[in-house]
Amino acid sequence: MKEKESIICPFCEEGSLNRVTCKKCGQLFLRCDECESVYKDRGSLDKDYGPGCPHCGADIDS
Amino acid sequence: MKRILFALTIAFCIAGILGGDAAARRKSRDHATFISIREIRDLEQKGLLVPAGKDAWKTKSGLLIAGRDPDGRTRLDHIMRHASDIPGRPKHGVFSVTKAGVIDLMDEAWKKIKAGAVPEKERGGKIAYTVGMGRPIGYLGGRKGRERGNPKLASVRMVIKKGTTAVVTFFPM
Repeated sequence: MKEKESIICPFCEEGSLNRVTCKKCGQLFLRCDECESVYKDRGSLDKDYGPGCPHCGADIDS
Repeated sequence: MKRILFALTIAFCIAGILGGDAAARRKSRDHATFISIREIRDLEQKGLLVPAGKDAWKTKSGLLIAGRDPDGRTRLDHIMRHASDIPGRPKHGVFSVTKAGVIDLMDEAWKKIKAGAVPEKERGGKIAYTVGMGRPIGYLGGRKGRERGNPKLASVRMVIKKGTTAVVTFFPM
């Protein structure tokens, strides 16, 4: 099966978006490996959910 | 007997290096350190970085390089990933200056940002600035860079946390 092409972060235009699981709600979201911007999913890259989990708003800072 | 044991040890080590699984090797490479403690001390001695706590430094212009990225790298190491190419990355801006030069460029870019008229965009509590430096300061690396013949780059992108001087990332673009 062909691997899905990585998505370049539309904000910093450099990093790749990786799938991450929220430690609070357990839902998957996307995070840029360069600027750490977060996205709910591939279909809502133009929406700004703030710095927290795009599903529950929990703090996801390392 | 000692020679045989020595040869066996060397052979065992080589087999271990060559035979390790690819995922482990890739993970090890992904977590490589991009700036050594000695290099950090050198930047501190030159006055380019001033220690500001654990894994935290301030630059001459007051930019804060602090904390760690989600992979556990220090923020300084995260930025210094761009001091060399990462060929497997889809896209990777690479500085063509020394690590001391990277810190100097950060201060130069920040002065231009503070002077105004620098394009910016905001998202998730972060601001991304694109600053033209007026000269080549790096090149496009990664897979896309290789495909395009590693074109020279004369701008930098600086991402900071809104309302602070805390740098999230800094790279040529």
